[in-house]
Amino acid sequence: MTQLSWFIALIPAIPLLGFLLNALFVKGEKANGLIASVAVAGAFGAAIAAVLGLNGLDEASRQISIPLWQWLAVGKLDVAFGLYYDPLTAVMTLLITGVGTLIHIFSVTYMHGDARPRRYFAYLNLFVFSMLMLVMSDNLLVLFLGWEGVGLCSFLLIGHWFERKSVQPGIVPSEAAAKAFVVNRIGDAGLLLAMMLILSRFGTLSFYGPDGNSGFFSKLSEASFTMVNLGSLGTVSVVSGIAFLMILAVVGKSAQLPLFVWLPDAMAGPTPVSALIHAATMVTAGVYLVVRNHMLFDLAPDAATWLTIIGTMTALIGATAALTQFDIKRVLAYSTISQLGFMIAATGMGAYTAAMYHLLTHGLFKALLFLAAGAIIHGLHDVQDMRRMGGLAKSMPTIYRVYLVGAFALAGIFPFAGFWSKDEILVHGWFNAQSITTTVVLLFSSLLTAFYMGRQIALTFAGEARDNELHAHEHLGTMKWPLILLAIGAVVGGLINLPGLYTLHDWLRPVLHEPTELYTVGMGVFATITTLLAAGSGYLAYRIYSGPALASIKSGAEDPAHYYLGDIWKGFELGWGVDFVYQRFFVRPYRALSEYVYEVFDVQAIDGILVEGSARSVGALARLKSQAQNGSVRTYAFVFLIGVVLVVGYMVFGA
Amino acid sequence: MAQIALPSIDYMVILQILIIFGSATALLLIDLFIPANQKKITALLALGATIGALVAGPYSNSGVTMANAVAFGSSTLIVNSIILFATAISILFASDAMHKQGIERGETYVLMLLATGGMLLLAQGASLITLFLGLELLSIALYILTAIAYPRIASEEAGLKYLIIGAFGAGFLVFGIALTFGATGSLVLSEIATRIPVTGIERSLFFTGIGLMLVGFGYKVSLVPFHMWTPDVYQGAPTSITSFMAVGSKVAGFIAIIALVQMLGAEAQVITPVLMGIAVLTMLVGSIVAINQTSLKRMLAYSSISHAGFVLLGVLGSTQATGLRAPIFYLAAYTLTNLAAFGVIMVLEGSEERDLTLADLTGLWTRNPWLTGIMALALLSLAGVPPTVGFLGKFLVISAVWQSGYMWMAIIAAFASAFAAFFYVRALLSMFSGTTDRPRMTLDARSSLALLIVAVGIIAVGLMPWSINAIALAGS
Repeated sequence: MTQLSWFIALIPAIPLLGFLLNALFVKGEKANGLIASVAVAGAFGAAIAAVLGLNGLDEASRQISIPLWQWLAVGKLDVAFGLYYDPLTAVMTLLITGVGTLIHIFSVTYMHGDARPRRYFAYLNLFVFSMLMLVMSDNLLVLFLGWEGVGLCSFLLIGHWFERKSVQPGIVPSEAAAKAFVVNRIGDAGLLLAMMLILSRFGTLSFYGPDGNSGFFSKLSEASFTMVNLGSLGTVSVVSGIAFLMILAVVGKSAQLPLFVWLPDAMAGPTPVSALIHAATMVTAGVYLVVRNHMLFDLAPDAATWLTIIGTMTALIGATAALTQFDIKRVLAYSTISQLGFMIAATGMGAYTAAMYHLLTHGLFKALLFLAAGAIIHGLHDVQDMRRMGGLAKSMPTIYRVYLVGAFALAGIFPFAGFWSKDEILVHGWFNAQSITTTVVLLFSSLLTAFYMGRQIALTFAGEARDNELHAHEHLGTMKWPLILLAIGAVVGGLINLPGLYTLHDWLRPVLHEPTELYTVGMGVFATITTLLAAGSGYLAYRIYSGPALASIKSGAEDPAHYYLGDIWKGFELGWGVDFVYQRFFVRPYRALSEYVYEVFDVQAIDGILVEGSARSVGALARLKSQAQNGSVRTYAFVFLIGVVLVVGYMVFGA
Repeated sequence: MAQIALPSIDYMVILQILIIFGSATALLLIDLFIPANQKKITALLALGATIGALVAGPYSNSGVTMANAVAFGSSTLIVNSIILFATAISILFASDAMHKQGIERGETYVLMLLATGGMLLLAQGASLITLFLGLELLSIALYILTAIAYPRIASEEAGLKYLIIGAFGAGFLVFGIALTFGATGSLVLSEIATRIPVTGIERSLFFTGIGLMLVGFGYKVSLVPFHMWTPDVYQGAPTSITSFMAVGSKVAGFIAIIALVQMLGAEAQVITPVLMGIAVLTMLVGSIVAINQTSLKRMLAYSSISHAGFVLLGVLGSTQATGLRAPIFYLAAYTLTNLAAFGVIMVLEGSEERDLTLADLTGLWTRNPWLTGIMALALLSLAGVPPTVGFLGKFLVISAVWQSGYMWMAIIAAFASAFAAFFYVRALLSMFSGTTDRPRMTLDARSSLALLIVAVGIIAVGLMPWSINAIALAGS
């Protein structure tokens, strides 16, 4: 292995080591936090070194394959446990380890005094490791390992405060954790089936193959006209079939319509977890999956169209839901769903660089917002209801400033990071893809974004404190520097791909092969208009919620807008009722079915109705029946016999 | 008087079987001289015999002997190794748990060896009579083992139930064998394969025979609707026996089913719809009913039913080019995982006789983090989360089914496994959550060793699946 390969291999290895150390050996809150932080920081160092090394190579050779060992060699199945490193992986590793380091450091103070710091930090490192495996794998099977791994860590960390019967706003952590896991597993089944289809058609799961040109990507074009027969559902091209199955996975992991319901509840976890997993990294795995497989989606325009539709709808639903929340984290959670919708819509329109650009800047400013929200919650002793806040600008000046930066970035105000990346998506939709409807809906969603951030700033920071029992104070400790560094990132993050310079674009070109475009005057005008609209929308919200609406903001009271919009507002608040639909049409029937099958096949045996008969037919059992009646042999034999009759019947007449 | 021609015997083909039966017989005598409070010596001897047979595997000869009744080959070697491995681990478990519960008897280990011999006979069977003999030998030993916790009522009742349903199933098996013999005039699998009737009443008789034999083996591996004894027997038997039975008899029973399907060759497509229907039912019933269980052993029983559906799917998929790797690997994965899960439950029971429920897992982390970790691994493997061996088993099976062209089956299996995750997650949650005032637990050396081996196996085989081949073939 070359020196560069060693650095690349170190990136996931160090967090894994950190996890093992914390999980198996180290005790004590301080030591746990230190080891976990150092491990991720070390991975960040390795990631920087690897990027520099990659930058030193010429563009054509910027893809490094490191096969570690043979994982599977079964007949046609031949999968190496291998790492892969190219410019796309490079930016993902930088984001994961960079933001990850800051969040680990933040956690040291945030989790101080927690009952289980050892577990917390161990899981956090395990998460970073899994996420790195996800983006660094050279084939779908190893990617799937990371994919399930992050889901598992997310599950464990959402449930971190399992002993609390309910956290604000009325979520049970253990239920939220299970919900996230199960919903994600449904998506994962899609990825598993996509792998099956790829494997059966192309005989490999490797993206590029060991020589860079023998993976399934290189075989896609020849298969794009082969059709799969789905019986009564008609036919679909192989490539589209794979793409649709992958979309199922994307929809689960990246919290898109209709599977986004787990993400708002996932806020039951500690806030740094929300920042790292449910904002900056794990939920963007779906976007990464699409970008990594962009050749596939290029050849499957029907699937790509669905990505656009799903992303656009999710952006709108997320934004409207964020508009109505009173829980400070829930606003951000729905906002994340909405922003992920932007990214997915961008990938659907073929704007892969724009999607990655927004993924990176969003990772910075959304992590900042979550951490700042966490610092507020910390300072208010676990109060998350914005109706009880107000006036925090005075008592929490540092947090106020960084929060403003994050809000400006999210709202897309010039020149903050979010402005550039969101603008690129909108510009692409309007000028390149020319899908007016999509662009208009996205633009409207981004105006709503500015509006709900204006509302949040007003409710949280403006005016006077509404609840004086809270004793708001700012005690940051190790939380301070992560906030400031992320705030700097949220200001200057746009620099990585400024119009005209297109640094990120050029960097990703060996992977994505997107042509460089000229920046036209029209685009500049478009950007100016959108940022002015956004600023206006945000300012309007701020004026409303710090002015006329303020009087009716009380703990437990409805938003004043509820008075005018009524059930529509309520519908927004519940995320358009998708959760309700699942409860009504899937969860409850499934439970009912389970109970029914249970009663037919299990309980009946216990309640002993039929034991009598069996006891008579088997004399020796009579002595036992009064003492332990848990199962009737006669029922068993009866069901058994039905099976025999069916099997034999088929054999006699079917053979 | 006519001379009876004795068939020639290649003893090296039946080497492992000989070692097991030989030591079982010897141990029965030796055990008489071992005092009642020193039965761990018997356990140790039985363990030695098992390991001896395990090591002898690679030195056995491939081939068929005893008038085409018993065979040995490379896949038999792997299956035998899985069975013997399971027996070795189970002996370790049993000698710890039964001693603690005060039900340790020397004959336990002898019976375990006899059952193991039956399993090996099933795995190596090349004629219908051998298969029947193997199944009965295995079953009779297990009936006694299930009821061995005398005077515990639950254990006795479970044993009796198992016996009744077992006798029921055996009846169908024998009848099936008779019909098959009648239709083809042979009991040897390889001969039957060449004589499958193409038309007429013989064909109907033949396939009726096959169907009845499937029933006879199907009850043993708990395929729906022949599964209903499973939860009761798993719950009632002493846990160390449950784990032995859940693992060993399932592996052996499935090998017999695979042998039948292979015997049919191209004609297997006749029974494919039946197998498909049973596989789907088994997967679904297993995972749907499991949700309502609170007893841990019952939950694992239903889980094992659902896993049987997956193995059967793998058997379906293996009729094509992919070979037997998928179902055999799945059985290996199932073995490691269930030994770990039942092992932890057994350790938790300690000296109590109570049936543990989900609530008993609460706060396990605070009582023993290592035990919790092993149970977590087992649950994740049952749920099919990578990088555990359970994930790889599911992956291989679904991939085999897909490549055999049963796309819809693969889709059903993928989603069934996604939904089944629910109840494993529930158990996982309760281990890590809550606090308990029960004391910390310490582990016995034997159980610790056994649990450590299976836990390492769950991860190591998951990451390096070829190691199963490598280990089984070591020395050859």
